[in-house]
Amino acid sequence: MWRMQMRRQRIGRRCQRLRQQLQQHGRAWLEQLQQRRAWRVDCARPRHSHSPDGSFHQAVAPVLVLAQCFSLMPVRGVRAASAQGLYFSRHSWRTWYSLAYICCTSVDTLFTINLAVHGTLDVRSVEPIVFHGSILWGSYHFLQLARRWPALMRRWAHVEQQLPGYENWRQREHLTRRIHSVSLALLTLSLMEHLLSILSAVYHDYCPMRKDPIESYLYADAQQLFYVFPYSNWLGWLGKIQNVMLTFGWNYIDLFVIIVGMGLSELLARLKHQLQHLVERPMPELFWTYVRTRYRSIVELIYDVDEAVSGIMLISFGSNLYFVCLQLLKSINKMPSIVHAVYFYFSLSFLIGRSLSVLLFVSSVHDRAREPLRLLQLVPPGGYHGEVSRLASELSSDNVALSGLRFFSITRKLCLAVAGSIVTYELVLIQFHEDEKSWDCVAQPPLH
Amino acid sequence: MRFLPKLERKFRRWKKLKKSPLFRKLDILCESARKRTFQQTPDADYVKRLQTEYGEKGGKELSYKRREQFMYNGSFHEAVGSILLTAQWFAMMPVRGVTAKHPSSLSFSWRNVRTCCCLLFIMSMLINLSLTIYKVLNGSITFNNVRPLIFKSCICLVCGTALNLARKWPELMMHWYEIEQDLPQYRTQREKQRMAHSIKMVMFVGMMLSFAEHLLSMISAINYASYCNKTDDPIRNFFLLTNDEIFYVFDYSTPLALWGKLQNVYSTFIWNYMDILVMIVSIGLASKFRQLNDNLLKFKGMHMAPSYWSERRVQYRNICTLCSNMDNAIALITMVSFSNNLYFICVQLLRSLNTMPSVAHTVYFYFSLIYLIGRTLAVSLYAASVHDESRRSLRYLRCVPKDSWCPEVKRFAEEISSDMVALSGMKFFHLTRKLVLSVAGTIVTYELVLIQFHEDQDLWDCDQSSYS
Repeated sequence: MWRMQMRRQRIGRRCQRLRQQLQQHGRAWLEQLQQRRAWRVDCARPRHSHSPDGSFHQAVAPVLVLAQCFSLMPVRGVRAASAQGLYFSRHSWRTWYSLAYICCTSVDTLFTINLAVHGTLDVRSVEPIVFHGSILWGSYHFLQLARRWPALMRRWAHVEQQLPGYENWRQREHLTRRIHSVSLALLTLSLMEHLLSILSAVYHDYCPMRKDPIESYLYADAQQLFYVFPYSNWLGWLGKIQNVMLTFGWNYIDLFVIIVGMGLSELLARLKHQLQHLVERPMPELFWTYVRTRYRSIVELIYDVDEAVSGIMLISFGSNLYFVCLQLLKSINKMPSIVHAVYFYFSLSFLIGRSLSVLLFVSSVHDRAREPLRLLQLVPPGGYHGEVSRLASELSSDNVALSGLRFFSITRKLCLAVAGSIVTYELVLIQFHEDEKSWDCVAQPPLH
Repeated sequence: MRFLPKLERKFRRWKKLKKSPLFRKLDILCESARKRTFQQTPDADYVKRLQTEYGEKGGKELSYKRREQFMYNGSFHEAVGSILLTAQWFAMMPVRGVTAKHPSSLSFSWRNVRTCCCLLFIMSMLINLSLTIYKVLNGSITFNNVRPLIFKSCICLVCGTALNLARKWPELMMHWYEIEQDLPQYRTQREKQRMAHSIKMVMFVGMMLSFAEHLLSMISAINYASYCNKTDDPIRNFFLLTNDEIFYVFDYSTPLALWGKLQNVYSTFIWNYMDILVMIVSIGLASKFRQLNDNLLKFKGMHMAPSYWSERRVQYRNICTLCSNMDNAIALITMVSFSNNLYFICVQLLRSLNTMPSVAHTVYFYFSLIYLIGRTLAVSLYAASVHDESRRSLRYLRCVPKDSWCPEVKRFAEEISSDMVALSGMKFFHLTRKLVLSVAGTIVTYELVLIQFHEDQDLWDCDQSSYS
């Protein structure tokens, strides 16, 4: 009897409390319920069946296909509808193609070292060795990355699905369009740079080593090969193809790093976008648990991606540092012709711009990861739960950034540090610099 | 008279025989009475009691070993036993009982043979150092010429520090053992062996490479000595070249030459061993952190009781204390090792500009340069792994679900994020991965400045005697 009474009383009290709460926060609750639906359900459907669904996997597909044409990233199923279709196999032709390319590059590197050792060794003459070596290291890392890529992309897709859905198609296509435009711009510029270099070499060849201008260009382009072998046309073309592939790989390393940085910062931006609307309202604790776990999953993804690509990061930053130093040093030289000067300054500004954009795009991951901390300060006192304080302390104490083999973490501060070291090295190197007369044919390596 | 236990036992027996016949008879009477009483009681074995009383081992009983005795229990003391034993052959770390099963049998005493050897070596090293100082001061002092001076003074310093470390070693190992016992234990033998295996591999690879480097240096010295003939005897030429600081003062004599060569071998070993010691200690510390992290990983994202977290927190704190204790003990060695490596890399890089007189020189030079850089990189990376492993726990704590989030977890997380757990060089710098880059930057800067003052040394000029 008394139990029934007790229960009735308890239920009555609970109902009363609920009613009071509903009366007090009725409107806020309704709003919250709507929002909860909004942050769980992906309501907007794609416009067309072939329009992008906003996933990183689909956005990078064309870039990866292009890389596969140049024998990097030999992973199968990059054009599949979802990340489930990705897999790596040793028996795929892509893998063999990539391995063959690595072998060719190593042989070419050996020839280059051979050429450099027989001349004088200084900062300038090791340029081809650094170029070849960094691309060799990069393509080896891409091969390693291809093995981990399917699992990584599946994790990425999992994290993406957990995040709040897009509100409209513009947001959905935002990442895809950004990636496509950046890669288009960078590849176009690099193509222009390469064409200009051909132009400046062919039309103003001061030291023709052969009668035919094309032959002479091929000879100069693959000098490391013709140091050992006598000249033949097919070897020259082979060297040219190798050179084109190397140039592509050199640009692609930076492009890939930019794309990864963009994808990761987009994830953080999506979370922040949702927080921005809801942060000033008293949200239930469940919402904050949701935000914290999503943020945590993104950060874990960043750590995993960092582990996979940090070797490529290191090589990208190191080679950029070296080449910027070298080109700045060369800028003291007198230019033999206008075409040479145009090519040189174009390539210098392209190089500096590329290095700077790599740095800014990659460091945006760090900036974006810190942004929610600002928003958490706007949380009203009514909605400040234990979860909020936990999230705030996690945000303030963690250092979330991509890194170069964990030797340095890539933040905006790195930009100034790199600039400072370039200036220091440059000042020292200038003192040893002698003007290299590129039109003085006697100073060039002798003919066979 | 406590030098050797065997001698002591003999001495006691001899004292017993010296007793007067009456006393001896009384003893025998007493003994037989005891024997009778033992025989009356069924389970007491007289022989064993007797043996324990006289401290003698049963010679008749075959000592057999069981499988457990050969299996690692995963303790650091056991893993470093053979490495310290090797060091003792080269007059370092004079501690007794390094290969014992339990760290309680470790002891240090000044009257031990090993300690005497160590002191003797330090004495002879000091004499050698003073000879070197004499030679360097008489010549011109340049960045390059003070190389043997720095080398030898570093060896002296490290030897003294190692002696000091040996005094603290038994206590440190007991501390280490207590903390190890408290940690979550590994289940499989493979996991237990992992630390010991990597420590042994580091020691083996390091020793092999340094041995190869020493051999190559000898070959190049022989090559050079045969070129610059000072006397007819090739062996004499070699010793005159390698121990030039001794024969700068004294005339040539074979015992002196042998002493110099022995000194050379020992100091080369110690020079390599100081880096290996830092590596080994950091592998040990990192593996203790990993042991804790593996346990945290096992329960990552699960609902755990607050008692679990408080237990883990105390264990983490214990390892941190251990880390700071070890850091205090080896700080000077770390400091010497790092500054030494920095100096030698600078010197070697600078010397790479010289033209090499022969192929043997070139091979030796580039081998030693690469070995030096590799060793420095290995030391820095292994030492940085302590810091990395200590930070990894934080990642697991971030994944604690909301329901099991308690003040204890919060405290744990805050302690990890606010603490700086890493080995250090006398607290001047912490050994993290970022240090590697700053050291590399420093080397490049110094190198660029030093190159400007560099003059090519003509190694073929025998009168210059710039070989060292």
